Amino acid sequence: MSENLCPELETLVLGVAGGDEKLQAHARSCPSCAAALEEHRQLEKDLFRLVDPLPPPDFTRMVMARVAAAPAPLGREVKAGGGILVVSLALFVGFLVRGGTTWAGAGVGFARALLELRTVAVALGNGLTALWSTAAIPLVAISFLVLATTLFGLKRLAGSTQSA
Amino acid sequence: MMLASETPSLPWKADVVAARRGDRSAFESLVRSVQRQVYGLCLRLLSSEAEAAEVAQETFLRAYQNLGRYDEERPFDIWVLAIARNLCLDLLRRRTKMRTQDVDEMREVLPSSGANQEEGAIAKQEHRSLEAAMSILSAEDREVLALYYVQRRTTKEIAQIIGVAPGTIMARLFRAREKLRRHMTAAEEVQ
Repeated sequence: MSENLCPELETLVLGVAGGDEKLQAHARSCPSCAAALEEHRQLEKDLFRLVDPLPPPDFTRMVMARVAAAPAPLGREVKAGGGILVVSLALFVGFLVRGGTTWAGAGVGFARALLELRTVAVALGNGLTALWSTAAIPLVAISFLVLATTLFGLKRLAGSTQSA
Repeated sequence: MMLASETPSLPWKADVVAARRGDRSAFESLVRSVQRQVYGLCLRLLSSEAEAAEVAQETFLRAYQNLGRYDEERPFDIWVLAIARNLCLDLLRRRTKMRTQDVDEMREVLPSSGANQEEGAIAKQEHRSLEAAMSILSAEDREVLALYYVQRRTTKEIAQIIGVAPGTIMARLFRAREKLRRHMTAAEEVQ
């Protein structure tokens, strides 16, 4: 085979590695192709001598510290949550089956709490109205400060979660 | 006593199952079994010891948090290496410029199995030239070389880690090796 008919180096190297007899025969008869193949073989030999470096000595400890500080895997949380839900539902059904007197008392208590809550809400509204009419500007300033601080905190929290 | 035929074909499976139940020592055993490969791949891709350690730690944290999604029939090391590789590529995309100082540090740090005392200074110099030429290659070239030659992984395993067809790996390897050869030849001519 003439040198003019030499295959592309990629075809030659991959073909010879794949056992292509025609290319192997060409490599045996063509000094330049044989030299190119030999160069790749030598490079492969050198590459096979490289090894992975050892991680830092405290690597495992650092990983396990991060694992310990991390929230539990989602799968376990979902399972635990499902368990709690099932137990709660079972207790609820149990109480329901047991009798009506307990539930009647609970209903009355709940209605009373709602009425008291309404009174508290009205009083709170009156208080806020009085505060607004006497000190509107300081109230707005403090509200703005609290809102800005909260938003900044949330932004920092979101940023640190993303980078983690 | 366990017979050879009883040897588990999925050695990581018991630890994965235990770790899913919250057994941290089982997870630690999984970390120890693959930490060198994970850190090694990170270091070759990132060229920075500090970043490699950080990303390798993050890799294991992600693995721990996503153990529920892991299919234990697949090799654990392949799964973790794929996570590490994705995190490294994310970091490389975020980088604006290559820090040559770290590359120099890496050349000093990465070891060679052949560069022992008997082989002496010439072998060490050759090893350094190889590492230096490798550090100039793209991350895609470095990862395929590291996985095939350093970690001795099969083309099928590499394809699973980087998410490409197995048939493309040999061609990728050739192209990466050819670039490496050209870099090394150019460096020798300069000297």
